[in-house]
Amino acid sequence: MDLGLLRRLAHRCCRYSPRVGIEDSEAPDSLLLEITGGAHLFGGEARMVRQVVADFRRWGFIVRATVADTIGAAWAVARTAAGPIIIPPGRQAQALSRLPVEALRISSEVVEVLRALGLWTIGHLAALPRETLPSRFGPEILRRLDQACGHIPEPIVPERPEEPIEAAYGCEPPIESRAAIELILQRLLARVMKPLQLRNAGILQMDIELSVPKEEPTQFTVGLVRPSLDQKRLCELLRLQLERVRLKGRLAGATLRVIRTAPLEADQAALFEAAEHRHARRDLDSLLNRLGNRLGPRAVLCPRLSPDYQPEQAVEYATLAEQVSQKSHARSKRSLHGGSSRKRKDTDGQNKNGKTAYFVRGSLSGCEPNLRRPVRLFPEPVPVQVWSVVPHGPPIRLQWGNRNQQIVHCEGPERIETGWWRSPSVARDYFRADTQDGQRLWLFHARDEGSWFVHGEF
Amino acid sequence: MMVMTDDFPPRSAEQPASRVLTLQRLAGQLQKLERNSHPVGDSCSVISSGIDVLDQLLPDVGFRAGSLIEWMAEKGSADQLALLAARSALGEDRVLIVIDDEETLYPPATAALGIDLRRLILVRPKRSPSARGKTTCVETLWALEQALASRGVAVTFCRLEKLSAKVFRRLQLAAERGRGLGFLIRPHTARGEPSWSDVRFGIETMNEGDSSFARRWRVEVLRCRRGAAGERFALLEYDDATNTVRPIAPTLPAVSPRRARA
Repeated sequence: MDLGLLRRLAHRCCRYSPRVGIEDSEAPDSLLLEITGGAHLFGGEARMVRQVVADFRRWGFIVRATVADTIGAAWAVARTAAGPIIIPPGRQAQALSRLPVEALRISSEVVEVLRALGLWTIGHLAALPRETLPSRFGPEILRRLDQACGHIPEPIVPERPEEPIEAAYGCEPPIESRAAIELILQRLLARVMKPLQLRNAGILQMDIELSVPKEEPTQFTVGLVRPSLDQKRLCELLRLQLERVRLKGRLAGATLRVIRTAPLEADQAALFEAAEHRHARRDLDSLLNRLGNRLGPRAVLCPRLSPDYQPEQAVEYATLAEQVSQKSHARSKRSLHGGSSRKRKDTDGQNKNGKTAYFVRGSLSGCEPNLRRPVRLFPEPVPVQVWSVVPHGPPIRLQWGNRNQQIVHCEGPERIETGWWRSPSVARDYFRADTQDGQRLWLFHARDEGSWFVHGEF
Repeated sequence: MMVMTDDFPPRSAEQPASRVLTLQRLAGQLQKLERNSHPVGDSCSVISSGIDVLDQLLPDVGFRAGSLIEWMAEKGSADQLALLAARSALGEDRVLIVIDDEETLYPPATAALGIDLRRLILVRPKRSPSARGKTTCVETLWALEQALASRGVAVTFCRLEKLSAKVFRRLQLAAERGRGLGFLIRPHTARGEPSWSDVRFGIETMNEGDSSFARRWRVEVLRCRRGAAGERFALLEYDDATNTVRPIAPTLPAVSPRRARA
């Protein structure tokens, strides 16, 4: 599950408990709620669990929930049992005894060893002498067993929603001068940068709202490729956006909100990295920031191949913001895994969203290298008239607009068909054709319509 | 009366060997003059196109860092060759930026040419409806100038039709600051326009009609800032199975130097 989504759900769950955390694992998909002393507010543990499950269903998630004394016991039972389960206080050892050993949150290698030795359940494992476990199966197993049984503590690291960072300025009387507006934005920027410096976080995205009396406020967004607290560069980006803003009157107030932040990366030079490379990297970041802010987020794109034979679907475009969020997601995931041990007392929600689909992203290795594709692919295939010797065979002459061209050489067909389940489905025969003018075109015959199109140019 | 001086011997008296030496000396002086026109500190770093035959057409056996290269061709026919030349210019950690306001560049084809898509960035400025057609919109030129001036960009690739001398000069100065390469794909109709590019290639595709269906180009140096302009051309063939470009005929002097200087 997406860590960002899990965090947002954790923030929503603050309505049930003051301490809500995310499980400590490589692919977290569970939320941990401390409900000690709070269940009576919902009419008891059973009612509370039912309400949590119902609320998640309303938000579009099917979850499993378990109440137990320890995180380990709640996690294990939630993974193996279907319905909401409440383990009575002090009974987690009995509840765990019949569960399989993999419910202990141990590595798959250890699980295999245990199974090979005939130790199928946690009860089998608990029956062995404790002292022998670390030397036989590693230190992890005893820690997990003790955590599940409540012999050693496991704290919940709470997910706290970050306080919004924003700064506002009111103008009395309203002002018109561009230089003054710029100065106000610079001051607002300086104000939001102070709390960020304490957090060692940089700005990734900020929204600016400019209010004009009796008019709708004007808003614009400044986005960055990398988190930054460089006031000079941020001011330059603000200025770039401000140049394009046309205010309908005098400025009465301005608000600057920091929407997305990320930990500042230490810009430490590698031992053998040339200064020129470092400058080039910074220069590129600065360029992408300028391009994205002046031309708009959809104008600067990073292409990725997609494993699809239909030419239009064979490539995906990520904006810079999407690219950055993927990178920061990977980083935050790594930092979370290095977290401390946790202790917990009761509920565990396992999200199983049946609607989630997983796609295999295309990569260079995923591309069929022998496919001959044109350098230019038209956004929409252009209808043309074609003459062939045999019906629907290789074309010999082409009428494209006013131009009537002879085809001197033709190669094909390459048949591309999509499955019937895709709408609209595609059934095309592609030809590479050299015209007398020296153009090499990518033509196709739409088999369902019977018409011809030019789709690209080599 | 006939006056004879030692300084200006009659042409018939000059030996062929000394004439060659004189020509070489003059060519050297010309090159020196033109080199001096480049900014101080330009250490003449040369970027190879990765296509030996193409490099051999140029006086520095490659493109000078911080220069503009024009590829004059009919629509689309030079894109493939220019991208092949950009491939090796990317180096280890720099990127290729394609200013693609027509929104037609097809990344799978770029990947098939051997360009790592992680190092390809597409910039697609929106064209206003009134700017559709042959006018290059302001945003495209702004993006092009910004990309050329950046040190993090190895090659900036852009299709341009009309370009005023003033804007061209701005682009050239930006390329000098960025020390990358600017590949400008231009139509044959722009041949007569003034140019601030370092090299201007004329590309013509050749339809031999044989069974191999390999892509063939005739590449002619129409203009080169520092000598050897328009004196040479090459015939190239692209083999998409091996993703290589090879010469198909030995490099020969061009038929008409005057045409080459167009």
